[in-house]
Amino acid sequence: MKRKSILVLVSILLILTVITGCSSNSSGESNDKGVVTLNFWYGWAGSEGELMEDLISEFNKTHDKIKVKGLSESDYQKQLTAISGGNPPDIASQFGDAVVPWGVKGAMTPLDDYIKKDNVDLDDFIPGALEQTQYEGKTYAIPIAMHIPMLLYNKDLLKKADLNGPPQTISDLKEYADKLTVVDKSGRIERLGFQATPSVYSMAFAFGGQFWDPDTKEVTPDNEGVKEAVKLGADTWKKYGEKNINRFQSGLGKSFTAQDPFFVGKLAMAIEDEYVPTFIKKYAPKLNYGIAPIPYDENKPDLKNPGDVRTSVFYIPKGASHPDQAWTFLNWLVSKDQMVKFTAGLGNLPTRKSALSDSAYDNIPGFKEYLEYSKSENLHSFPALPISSEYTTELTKEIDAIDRGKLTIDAGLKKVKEEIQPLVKDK
Amino acid sequence: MAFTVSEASKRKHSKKEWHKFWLGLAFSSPFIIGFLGLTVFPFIESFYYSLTDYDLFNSPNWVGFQNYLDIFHDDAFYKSIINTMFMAFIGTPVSLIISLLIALLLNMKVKGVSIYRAIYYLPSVIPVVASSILWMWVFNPQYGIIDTFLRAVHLPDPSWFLDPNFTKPALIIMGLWGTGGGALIYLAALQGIPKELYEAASIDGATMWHRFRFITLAALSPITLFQLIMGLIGSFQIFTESFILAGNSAQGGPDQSMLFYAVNLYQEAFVNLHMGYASALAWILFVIVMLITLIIFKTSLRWVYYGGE
Amino acid sequence: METKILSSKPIHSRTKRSFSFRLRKQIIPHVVLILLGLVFLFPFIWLILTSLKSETEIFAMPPTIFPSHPQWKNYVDALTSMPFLLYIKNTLVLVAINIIGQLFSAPLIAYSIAKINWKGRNIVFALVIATIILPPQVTMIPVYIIFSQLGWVNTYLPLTIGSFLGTAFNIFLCRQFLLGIPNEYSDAARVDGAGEFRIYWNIMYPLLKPALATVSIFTFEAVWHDFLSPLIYLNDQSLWTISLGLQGFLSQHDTQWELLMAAATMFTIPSVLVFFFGQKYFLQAGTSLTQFK
Repeated sequence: MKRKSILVLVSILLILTVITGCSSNSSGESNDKGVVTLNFWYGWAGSEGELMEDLISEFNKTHDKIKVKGLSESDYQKQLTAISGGNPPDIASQFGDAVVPWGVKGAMTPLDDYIKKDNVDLDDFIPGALEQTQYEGKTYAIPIAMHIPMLLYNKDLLKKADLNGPPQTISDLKEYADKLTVVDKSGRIERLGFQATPSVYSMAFAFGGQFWDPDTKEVTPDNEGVKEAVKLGADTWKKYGEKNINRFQSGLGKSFTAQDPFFVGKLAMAIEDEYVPTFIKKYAPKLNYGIAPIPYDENKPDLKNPGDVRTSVFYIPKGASHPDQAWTFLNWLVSKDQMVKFTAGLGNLPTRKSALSDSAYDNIPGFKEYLEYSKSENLHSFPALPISSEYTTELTKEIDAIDRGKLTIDAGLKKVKEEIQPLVKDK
Repeated sequence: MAFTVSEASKRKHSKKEWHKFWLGLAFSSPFIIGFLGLTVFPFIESFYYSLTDYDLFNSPNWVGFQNYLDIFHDDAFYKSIINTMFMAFIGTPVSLIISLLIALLLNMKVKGVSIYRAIYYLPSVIPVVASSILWMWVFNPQYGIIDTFLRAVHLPDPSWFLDPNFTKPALIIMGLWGTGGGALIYLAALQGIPKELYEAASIDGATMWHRFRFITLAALSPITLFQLIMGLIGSFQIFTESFILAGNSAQGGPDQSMLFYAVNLYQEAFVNLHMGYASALAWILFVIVMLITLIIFKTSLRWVYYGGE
Repeated sequence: METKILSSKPIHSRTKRSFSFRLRKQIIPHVVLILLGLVFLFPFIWLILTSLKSETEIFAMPPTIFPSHPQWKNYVDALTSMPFLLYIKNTLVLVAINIIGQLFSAPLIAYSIAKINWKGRNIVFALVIATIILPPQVTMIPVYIIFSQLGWVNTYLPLTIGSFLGTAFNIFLCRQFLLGIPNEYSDAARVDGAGEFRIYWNIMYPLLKPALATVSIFTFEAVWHDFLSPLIYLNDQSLWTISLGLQGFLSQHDTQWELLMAAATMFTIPSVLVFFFGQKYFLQAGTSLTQFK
């Protein structure tokens, strides 16, 4: 009896300590010396994550009142759940296209007061990059890096197929893709000339498409240009068969590793962002590849050098325990020196005009080409709208159905419009 | 005289009753607290939320039955219902039959049956996250062992988890691997069937099939009812497999062929933060599950035999 | 007795039929059981074999069955590329708290249903059974909202509190077991003037040991397997359980099959060990379900 009661007592104590232990643990604490601990979630992993950690320790060394604890968390959805659950990190990274939907929802702290207080010169930022973080006069995040796509092509494979130089127009691209694809007797794909489902955003801009009509406040997935872009992928699926493409893709290695399909020659041409050459240098240094503009529609020569711009941003979640200190850290991260260090390490394009000419970028593979390309007038980004997340999710979903031949292109894109347009009027 | 005695004993009796009542209440209080706090209250609140628009950031906004109307125009809802019904009405019976067959095998009087029992039960203790990853690899169309085998014997080699027509059959096969749990319950029931029944039937000249049909199946029917209901309810909760196999997007894999009811509900609630809409989905789920249970109970009167008493 | 008489009937022809008899009664069943056993074991063996292959061997055509050079390093790599031991520790903490909770609540509630003759017992029992049928999704959202308003999201409270309040299956198991214990035990103590709680704690609780072992094992498996609740409630990676960790690992290393298989193997082993040591309790649970009264 006695022994058992002691056991019960001990177990109750254990529970209490564990429960109180983890609940006090999880909220950012500040100890007696007035040092504030910031929880920082970032989406970079692996070698890119290590670079972020380097920056964090540098910040911790130079700031004795703030201690940043970094956490690599590539599941961005977790951030939203954490914010809604009232237990968010103090600062986090995101992609630019999520900023407005989340900001308008109330998941991000508007930064305008901080920007004014610290006299941050927003004019130094490239307008296209900053655009995605602002909505109705509020700035919800600051971009640190800009992502721009170009066409990468495997020079050896093109040569073997007697193709000289990269494709210029979309007809070229189709022709090249056909010639570079290798299919065995049974119909099994051994190599694809071009991605089976290329970025619908970049390709839509190549066809002069747009996703949003600001005048009528209507989503326009049924726009001619978008349709053409979707057709490009759907034709590939139709030509080689859903089954064969499935099988081919199931045997592909992970992107941006030594097994990346483009790095190993299973894909002859691909639309890739500016950080990919840095990965190639690391994982496939012997790959003989070229960087070229994304092909344009030969009927619309004024749409040369198209592409979809994306950004990586930092923001302070709503309900963060230490927003002021988080801002200090955020402001430090996006200041010119840190931005150069980080983006040069990752091979990303910086978002500050003053950073562009820094010598740190001299040895970054492909930087020159991408930097030049970033000046193109035909680069656009997906419209920053409160419904952007739902819109892109729905697009991905219906394009998948179209590629698999479950829906016609018109029916699929019409469905996107029917699903998304009603959400617009609410706001 | 007699009157007063019975009166006194009655009072004493009722006092004792009350004492027992309080005791019973005290002993079951954890359950009662939990039931009220974590079941009844949320259950009612869920209905309230289902009549609102609520994203956790702004306070709930009354919209009446709009969520329910929207659901009936939502493709994802219908898709998830069809996918779930496939698992419920094809997957559940198949796994019931297989687990009965395994139980019959294990019920044979052979040496070392406990080893076989352990082997068949083993897969059902493997965590779903681990078994999903394993099967993803087993079913890989390029390097997976199943398709390699099928190709070797010149049979068609489907793309399983990548082909919308084969995702659910693949999930059912994966589920069959874990039927050991159901088989174990059947086995226990089989061993509870009195031998005398079979002997009497043998003497009466009943064939093996008749003995199986009229003794074994009949005696197992209450367990079949239990497993059927639990299986159907379980298929409305399929989540982890789809979440793992369909990739992080949780959109249900190729052509949303693994978008199940619980997956869609999770997606609406915790990805899109449509708490009101998701609550309406939850209430519809509740009604569906209750209806199915009710119908099965009603029809079970025709095929379930409860022993002598 | 009767069995003997019946089966002894063909004895006179035993020597003649011996082989066909043995074929029917022993050999064929064994062959079937072994073949089926291989089917059941194969994915498991495949898991372990794959976990020992090198990356090039995994993508070799045609595929090999046995790893040519077992790569034990895969396990080291899997362990070091995620905080595996931390996840194990977290999961074990959750398992321990949940078992304590279940051992507190399930027998207590079951006792009130099985051994106390009070007015509400049938209602409580009916409600316990009703909670089995109620899909958890129905209450999931409000419960999440309540917990988030209490500030319990990202703590272990939402993942443990339920076990202190009783779970239908475990209550049911304990009830079945209690019904099998004769009342004579407690009656004697009652005559001696012992209170109900002392009877429960001193007499019944120790007798319940086998049922409590079953409850503990099932709680272990349930917590070890759980994915949805940790997914919803735990955001901070340092609090993650093993199933969340493995899912996160999958999303970062989705084609590094050798590492995934090594991690999955390590995730599976404790579950299998518990099964082997507690086999008879699994059987017991199966049996008690079939004796529903």
